[in-house]
Amino acid sequence: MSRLIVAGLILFPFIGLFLAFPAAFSWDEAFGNTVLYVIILGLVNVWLGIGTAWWLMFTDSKWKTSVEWFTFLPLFIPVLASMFGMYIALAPLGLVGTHIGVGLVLLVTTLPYSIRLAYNAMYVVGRPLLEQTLTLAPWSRFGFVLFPLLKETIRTIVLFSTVIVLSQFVLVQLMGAGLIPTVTTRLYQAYAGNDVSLALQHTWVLVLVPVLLYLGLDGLFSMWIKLVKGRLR
Amino acid sequence: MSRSSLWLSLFVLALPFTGVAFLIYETVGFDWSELNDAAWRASLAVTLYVTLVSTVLSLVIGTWLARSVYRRQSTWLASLLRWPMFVPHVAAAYLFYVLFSGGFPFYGLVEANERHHLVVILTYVWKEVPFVFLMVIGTYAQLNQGYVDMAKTLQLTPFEQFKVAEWPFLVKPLLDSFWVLVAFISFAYEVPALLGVTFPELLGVLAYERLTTGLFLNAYESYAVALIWTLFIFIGVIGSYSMTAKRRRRIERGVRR
Amino acid sequence: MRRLKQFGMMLALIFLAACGTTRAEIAPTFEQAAEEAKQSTVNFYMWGGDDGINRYIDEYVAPRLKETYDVELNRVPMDTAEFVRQLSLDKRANREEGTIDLMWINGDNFRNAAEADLLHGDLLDKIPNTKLLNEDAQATDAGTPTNGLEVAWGNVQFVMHYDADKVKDPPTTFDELHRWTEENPGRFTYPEVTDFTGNAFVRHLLYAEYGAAAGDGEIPDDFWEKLATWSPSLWKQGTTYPKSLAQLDQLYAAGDVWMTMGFNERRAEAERENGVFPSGTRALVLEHSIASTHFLAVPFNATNPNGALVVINELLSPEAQLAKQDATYWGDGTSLDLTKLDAVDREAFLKLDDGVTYPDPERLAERSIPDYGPAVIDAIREEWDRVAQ
Repeated sequence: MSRLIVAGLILFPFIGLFLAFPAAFSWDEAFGNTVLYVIILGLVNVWLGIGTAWWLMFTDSKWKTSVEWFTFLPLFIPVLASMFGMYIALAPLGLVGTHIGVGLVLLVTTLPYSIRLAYNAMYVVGRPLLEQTLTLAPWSRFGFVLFPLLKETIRTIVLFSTVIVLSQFVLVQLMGAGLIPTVTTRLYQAYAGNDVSLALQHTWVLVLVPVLLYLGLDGLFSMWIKLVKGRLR
Repeated sequence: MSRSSLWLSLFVLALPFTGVAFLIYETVGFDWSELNDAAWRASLAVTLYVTLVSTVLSLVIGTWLARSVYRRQSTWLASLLRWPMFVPHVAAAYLFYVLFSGGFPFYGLVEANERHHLVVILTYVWKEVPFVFLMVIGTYAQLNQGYVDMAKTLQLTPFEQFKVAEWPFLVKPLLDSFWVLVAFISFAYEVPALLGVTFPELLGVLAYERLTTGLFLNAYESYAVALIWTLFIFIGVIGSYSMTAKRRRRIERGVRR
Repeated sequence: MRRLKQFGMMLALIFLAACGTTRAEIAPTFEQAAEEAKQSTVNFYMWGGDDGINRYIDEYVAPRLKETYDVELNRVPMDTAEFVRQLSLDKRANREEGTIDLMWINGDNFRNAAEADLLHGDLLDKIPNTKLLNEDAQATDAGTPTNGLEVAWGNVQFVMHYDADKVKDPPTTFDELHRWTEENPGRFTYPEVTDFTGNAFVRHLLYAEYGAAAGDGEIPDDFWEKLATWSPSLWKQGTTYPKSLAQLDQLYAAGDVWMTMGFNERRAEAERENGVFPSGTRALVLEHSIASTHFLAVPFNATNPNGALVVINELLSPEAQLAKQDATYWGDGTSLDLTKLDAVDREAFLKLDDGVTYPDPERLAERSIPDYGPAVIDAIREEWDRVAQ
């Protein structure tokens, strides 16, 4: 009984998804962009997050403390505070209204989380275990040891970056100069309008993209692990 | 591998600092007394209220859930708690909006768009508890059961058991979570914009509105507020981390296997 | 280390590519502009919150442009203040090749853009169809002289709409409206004054109290005290207000409130026909109504200014203006002077004056007043918080 109550408390907001019939879904530019960003940012975040955390873990450098703060503090800079400066910095490079520009600022909002998550996970695994892998070549080190050890973290990093990317409206609108629609920018217009079923359709997409990605990665990862185990045998 | 990704990360993360530098540059010569108007004062008060209540509730509930999952090994709860994490903040705000303002089930019980911001707080707690849970559960997973057992053997009260055997290890993840949540909630836009009221507005909403109704060139008020707030949080972060640094290091050394 | 070098090279290349750009020039005559614009794309930035307006651009204007001038029209939905802010950032960053070619603008956003020098000037002589414009509408924008920085696109008046099935005895003055809200608590509200329409509603109340005399932006305390007496009987006791006109319309469509408002006397017709607004929706003209013109402008860093001129010319053609005024799409009043048109076109326009939710055109014209300047808009924005508290 108490389980039911707890489950109810956690799941009740999802009722909102069923309050109206969502508008019919069709593949369009906004959806394509969204999926593109989610996948690319997921990959880049895993790569840069783990790579940077690795450096922080194993490199003895006099810069270490400064680098640690430099990768940590951006977690606390509100998007609203940094976006205009970023625009001024990126506009002369011709990055406004381009996919690269939007991708870059989305990376800014996600990367600090990824580095932190990766670092914490490696910390839990422990330095001695990781140090032993240093004898392996980088690719096999990643494929056979790091990846199986960190697969839950990788999944979490992807989930985090996905959800954060899907939340960005102001930033995408400013850096994309309105030329790069995503499901989120459409959603804001739908919120403002009269159409509840249109708004709900976008909400459905925003919830389903992370869920499907998470489940998909689970399948993919267990396949990989099976493969690796087979090889070791 | 790690060196090139470090350089790329540093390059990317230099961007938000550029943003802050730009704010500092822009606010040189700003007349700070302009911020002393009723809208900003009321906004500060309500922002502190919403931020602190949501953050503290999330921390307490999240830690408590992590603790019970750890003790009872209730995996069902752990997997259930993932669900709110799949929902982006914008979508969560909209879900709560349709539930609490449309005349549907919860209307009248608690209402969206009212001055106590209860639905805003509820949305944040629902979204952030799983986050805190995730940050804390890792610590519990590697908690040395020996400490807990020893505390039990010494016949300490449950509270003291927690204080001695668990709390010292929780300081770091809780400190992390606290500042991430405070920074995020206090200057966010989506949730309070949809669920808040016209007056008083949360800082993020008010700052954004003052930015969009005037020109970029005379939006100094919003810049000044964003700058002060960022610096204020920086000071809080750096201060609290260096204050607990000694203790944390001692514990980390003990934990290392 | 080699990677780092490659990375640096890439950055340097991007920089070089970025620095070679210069501002695009406008062709000396319209014929040349049309020639230059062939096979180009025009990015048209406009507020995107109204389905009828969007369909008018996408389904009517864009195909015509493609056919007549071989110009591709790309409608970009964005809030006006947002893209004006973007332009001001472009100016700041010396970005000479921007993304916006043409924009829909008026009121304080225009004043801001003009003051910050964000617009191309001398538009009128380069566009043939500007000869047909209503000169009064073209002259000023909410009190600010246009000086050829923008071209009038449409001309509308402020009108309220109510549901006649629920409001049996509609008020006829703003004072009566106040009394009506007290008798029907919770059934009326207006958008926040940061919203274009909400601000205009408060300006109407100001005009009802003080007439044109309040134009200098000095609003007496008495006015705010009086406005505060409206609050207890507004929707949610005036503790919160709709953030935008779209939200007010949503409340009206759902029957939560019984009145809505907005610039454009024909705006409710299509909504009523589509069943969004209640079928009892009728127009309500109180003792005066602000006339407002909205405009088209070309930003200083437009990459395709010639294409923008072609689009403006097409939007000002009598056929396009007629289709715009028709309730099928938008129902927006024309900015052309009907006396300058030939008889057939004029007749076609006059025929459109018939709709269930339209106010009596003569009465509306009679009660038309010019807008206060931007000083009043700013003052209301700054001081209205007292009422919302």
